[in-house]
Amino acid sequence: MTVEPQDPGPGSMLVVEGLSKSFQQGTPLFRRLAGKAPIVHAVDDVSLTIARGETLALVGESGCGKSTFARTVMGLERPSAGIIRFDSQPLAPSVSDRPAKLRRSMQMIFQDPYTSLNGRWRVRDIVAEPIREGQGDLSQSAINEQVGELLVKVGLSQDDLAKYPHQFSGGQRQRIAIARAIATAPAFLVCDEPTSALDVSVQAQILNLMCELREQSEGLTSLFISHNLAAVRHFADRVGVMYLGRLVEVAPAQELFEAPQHPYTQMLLAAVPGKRRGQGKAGIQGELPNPLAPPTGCAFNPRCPLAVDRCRSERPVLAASRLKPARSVACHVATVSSV
Amino acid sequence: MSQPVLEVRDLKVEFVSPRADRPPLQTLRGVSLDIAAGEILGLVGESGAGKSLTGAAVLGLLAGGGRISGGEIRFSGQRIDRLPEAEIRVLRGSRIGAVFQDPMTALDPLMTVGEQLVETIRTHRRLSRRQARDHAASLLDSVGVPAAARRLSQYPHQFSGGMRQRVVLALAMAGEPDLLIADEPTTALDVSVQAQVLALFRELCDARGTAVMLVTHDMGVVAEICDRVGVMYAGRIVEIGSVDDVLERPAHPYTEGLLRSIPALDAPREPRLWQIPGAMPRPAAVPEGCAYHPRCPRAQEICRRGNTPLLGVSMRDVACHFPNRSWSSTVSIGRSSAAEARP
Repeated sequence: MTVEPQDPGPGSMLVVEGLSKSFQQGTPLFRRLAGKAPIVHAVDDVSLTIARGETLALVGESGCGKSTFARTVMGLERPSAGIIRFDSQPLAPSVSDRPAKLRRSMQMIFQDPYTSLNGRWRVRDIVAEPIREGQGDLSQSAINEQVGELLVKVGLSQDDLAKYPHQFSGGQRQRIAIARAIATAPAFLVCDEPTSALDVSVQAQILNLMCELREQSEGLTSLFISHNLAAVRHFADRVGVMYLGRLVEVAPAQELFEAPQHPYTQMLLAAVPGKRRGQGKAGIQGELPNPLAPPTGCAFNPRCPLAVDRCRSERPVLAASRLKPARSVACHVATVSSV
Repeated sequence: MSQPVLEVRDLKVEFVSPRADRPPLQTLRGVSLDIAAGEILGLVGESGAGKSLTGAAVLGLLAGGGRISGGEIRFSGQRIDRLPEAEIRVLRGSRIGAVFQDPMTALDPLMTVGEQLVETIRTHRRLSRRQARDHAASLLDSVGVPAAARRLSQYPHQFSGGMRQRVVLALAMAGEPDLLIADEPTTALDVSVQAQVLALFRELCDARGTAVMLVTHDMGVVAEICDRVGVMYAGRIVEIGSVDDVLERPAHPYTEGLLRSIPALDAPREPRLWQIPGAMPRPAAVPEGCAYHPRCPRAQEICRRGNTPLLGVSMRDVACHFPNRSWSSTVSIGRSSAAEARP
């Protein structure tokens, strides 16, 4: 992209500093009786910047906090701590406190197009809703025209206006969801696993559509959440890897896939099934630890082949590599070897 | 050549509509495959292609008005597609095991893992409780559950997702089956856990000579552990052969398109992914002729009518009038000379 991602000034679309989101387990009654409820730190002190026009992907296994991060940025969850700046302005924690103009410029595509569209609404109304909001004076015919153009843009037709979601396949429904998300010409788009519920041939169609739209709307910034590493490699400019609520590595996409530095990133890449026929899988062991009782030190240490004593006692911070400032990694061992 | 453990010939399955005026839906339209002992056959395809249905038909578990309307299924040479329910029940669980996608639906949440294993073992083998419990512990141990003896007294919810699927695998293996039907066994698991469970499948299959039908939508999983692969489209197998032949040198245009549309981790990044136009037809609207012809770049008049038989081309069987033969310049093993002679 044209703007260097390090620039914290006008080149940054989204700046997140020390974002945390924790959830308390148990009912209020239970909490009262027990005096204290266990806490899950779904997102734990995450800081990152997305440059204008950049696509940043967050990857990691289920429960790593990538979706919670996206939902918190969108204001669908209130952060427990941290600051989110959008276009240099601090964002209100909840979406309902954000001004309509801001809401229109931040949109989201969800994973499951079967639940993210209201089955009782016609396509016309689903796509028109974000256009209507804050623009009550638009005539019905003007709205219909806009919606029709949007449908054509995402590969559907004007004839689909009066249909209901159940009349479409999964891939077509995701196109409707995309049309709704781009209806207000947003500057920032969050895509939370947009192709995970789709078949591979449909996934290719949707990823291509998203590439096209990104090229058409210059400067569209996006946050792409996925566990599909190959899709991320195809789509993202930069990638952040999360493990148990924390960012463990951030790097330009190509460099991350060519030379992953964090042992977890390396394991994740080695685990992708494919042509390797079991090669290099010997180091893959264990599962995500219980988030209610995360390991001390580096959360990855019980599964890490490189762990030393320091990893069990001291939590590594995400630090930029001295040689390659665009890359950062949170690892005692990898940091030493790369400096 | 020894007899295959499973032989499926021209299997057809239809679903009867609850409304009398509607014809039954043809969902499997003639599926043929063999699986030998110790072999893992992958069945891949997109949702609705009929891969799970093939597994369910072999297990005698067709639900929702589904029934076998043609063809035959042989297990160790014996026909099982017309067995009465009582007899297929005995086979299922003892000689034919099953593993499904969601381990939680296969386990009883109110019974300890040990009780479930002991019950399964004693259903199929005459062992005392104590012996069965010892055997259960060794089974759990063999699927890589640490501290197996202690974990027998725990409930399924006390196991993580990956460990639960290992327990299900132990249950399926309890009867020492000759054939295992695994339907998306690792789809619900995270990728690092999936790698471990897949390795375990391969290990168990190699050690015991179990034949496995692995139903999956993930070509990576096929490449990882399968010996052979069948690609399904609209209720038929369109290409079947060794994993190397089919995945590295696909001959059917659908297999080619499908493989090209998957983003790769190691190929150069292209501005666009390869994309197959359209979508797979629904069972009620499968077109005449080759079901793929409306989406196929090589389709010609002959593809629009009649049946397209599975014929041997370049070391695998392909149901296509115009298969990619560029792989066969040195080796040509066509079963039908007529097929080879076509342009």
